[in-house]
Amino acid sequence: MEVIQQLLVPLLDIKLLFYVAAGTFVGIILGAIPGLSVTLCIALVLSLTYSWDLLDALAIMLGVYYGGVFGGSRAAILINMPGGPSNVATSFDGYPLAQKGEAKMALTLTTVFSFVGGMIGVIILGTTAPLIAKIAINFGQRDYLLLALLGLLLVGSLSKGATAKGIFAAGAGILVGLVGMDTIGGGTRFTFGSLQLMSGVNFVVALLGLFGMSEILFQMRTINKSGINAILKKTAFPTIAFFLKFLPMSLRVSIMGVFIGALPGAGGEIAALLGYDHAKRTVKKSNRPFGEGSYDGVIAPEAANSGAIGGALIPLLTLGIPGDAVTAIFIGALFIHGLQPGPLLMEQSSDLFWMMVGSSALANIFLLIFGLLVVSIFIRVVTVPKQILLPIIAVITIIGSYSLNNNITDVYWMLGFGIVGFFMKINNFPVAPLVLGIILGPLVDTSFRRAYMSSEGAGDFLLGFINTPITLILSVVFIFTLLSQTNLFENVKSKFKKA
Amino acid sequence: MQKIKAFAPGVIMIIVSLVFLSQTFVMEKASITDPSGGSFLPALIAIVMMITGITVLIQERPKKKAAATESISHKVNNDDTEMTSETTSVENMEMTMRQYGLILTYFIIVVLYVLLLSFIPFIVATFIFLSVSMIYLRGVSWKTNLLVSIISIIVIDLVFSKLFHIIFP
Repeated sequence: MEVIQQLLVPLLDIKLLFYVAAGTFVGIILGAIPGLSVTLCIALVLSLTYSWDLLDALAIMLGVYYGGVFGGSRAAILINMPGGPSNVATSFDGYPLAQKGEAKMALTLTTVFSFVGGMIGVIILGTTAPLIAKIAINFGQRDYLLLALLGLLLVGSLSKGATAKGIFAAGAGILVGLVGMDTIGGGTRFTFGSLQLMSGVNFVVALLGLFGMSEILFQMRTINKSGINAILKKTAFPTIAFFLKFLPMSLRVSIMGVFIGALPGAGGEIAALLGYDHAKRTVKKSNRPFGEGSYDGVIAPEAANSGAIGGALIPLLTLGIPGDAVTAIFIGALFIHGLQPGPLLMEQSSDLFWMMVGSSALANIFLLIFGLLVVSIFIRVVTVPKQILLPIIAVITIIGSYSLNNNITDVYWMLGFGIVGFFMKINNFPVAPLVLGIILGPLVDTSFRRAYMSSEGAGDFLLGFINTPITLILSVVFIFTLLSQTNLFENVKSKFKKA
Repeated sequence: MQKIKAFAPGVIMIIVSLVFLSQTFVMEKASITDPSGGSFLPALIAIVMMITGITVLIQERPKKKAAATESISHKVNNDDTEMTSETTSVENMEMTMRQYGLILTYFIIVVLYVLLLSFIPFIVATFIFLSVSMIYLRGVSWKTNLLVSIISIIVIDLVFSKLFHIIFP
């Protein structure tokens, strides 16, 4: 009964209801603009809601998260430019559908099945997270260390063909995260004698620079390319029976998306691609071949990437480790408000967890409403010239970094991170591990040192990694993940394939 | 130039790692040999970072050799083709340099805007920044430029100061 009451809080509280709705709407609009990532949108919202009440800030951030991922499909369908990596697979059949004059059908189908995927994600989040948290409550310092390292390693592994650069970025992130006072030893670290660095580097400033300013500069490369036109023809709204035909497949890919999203490092992008692949392999009688405007081809990736959002929230809320860069920002938001994400959060602030579940469900409902009602606006949104868009985003990014402490120095820091992020991007360095490192750095440091202090010497410390079943499993998973990224693993895999 | 570009990331990675590593030796109240101290883990991470830098340097080397071999064989086989390929390559480099120029100039405009915020009111500075940006980036008529600048300032002022209660610089 208490759980239901907490679940309904966002629905009954007018302010929260408004924030979720506004967040979802803004997320859809910003997500629909090619080049504007969901991560940037969430980072901006975090900076602007820095001094807000936690529930209000989380409500608007969740709305932006769901709306942003969904919004990316609008541009993928209408102009063949996915709003984000999660929507790449949507363009495979979405754009051919638009070219055949069925853009409205594609937009409707993706809206309905994004809702289905999102709701499946919320249901699985609500049912499994409390169970995982009960197991995770027994985690020790070594387990947290392994989880944090695993998260960093997996995100690094996503930097295709640049694993070394990914590990470097994660390492640099950890060290940047350690700048300032050492909370255990009392000394200062990496301050270079600067008093301003004593309090550390504000990770929101780093986020705005690395995802905001660097993205603005990165987008400048294609600034002079001619605009794209999109056309939306009027079509009849499909019947319920028509939607029901796709329900079994959408449920399968949604569940698949949730589990892929729950894996640290794997996010909506992988979920959408695997969902598309699953539909391609299992759907025998689609309206058209895949790649030529199949309805199943637009439904599967959108259901999967929406499901992946619920999945990504599971490790965040139960273990305190982020699944991707967006959930890393959520962790940052909880830190800012003095909360430690992880199993204790579920124990001590269960109301917060259920409020997040309720807000997620609500965001999906708003997504369905806005997605079906506000269609023609997307044509204008996706074709806004970058010459207009980028300067406005630059102003918002500057306001966001200034508003954190009403201090212009933060803006200079943001610009510094922006130029670093830009050079990282053009040299094929992944930015996400750097951000995760900054956020997880203090956790890695404290859990490593506390685990060592609680053991009697190096031998006992190392033995601790195989002492308990949970630590042993995590150690094995960590070693396997580490080895899987080496050439040795690839060689063994190819030998097995040949055999 | 190509050689420098290929090796630059690895060299920068090693330099950054060395800077971090050197800092771990001068940390207060921390011994680098004590794993529970404040400098042991950072030093370990800096060493791992350095190894990744060396790996990137090594990874870039064979690519360079292969490219050089390919270029030589290309030259020997067909002089005309070589000329065309070289011209294309130079054009690409020019294009890249132009993009670099555009991006870095725009970054300077952003920095000037931030500097301006300390001297003139936010609204005036933002209007100037938006107008100058759209003129610099081209493709927007002066009417649209003026309209977008004014509407953006009104919306930003209303949303951020009224909804988010943000105090502008």
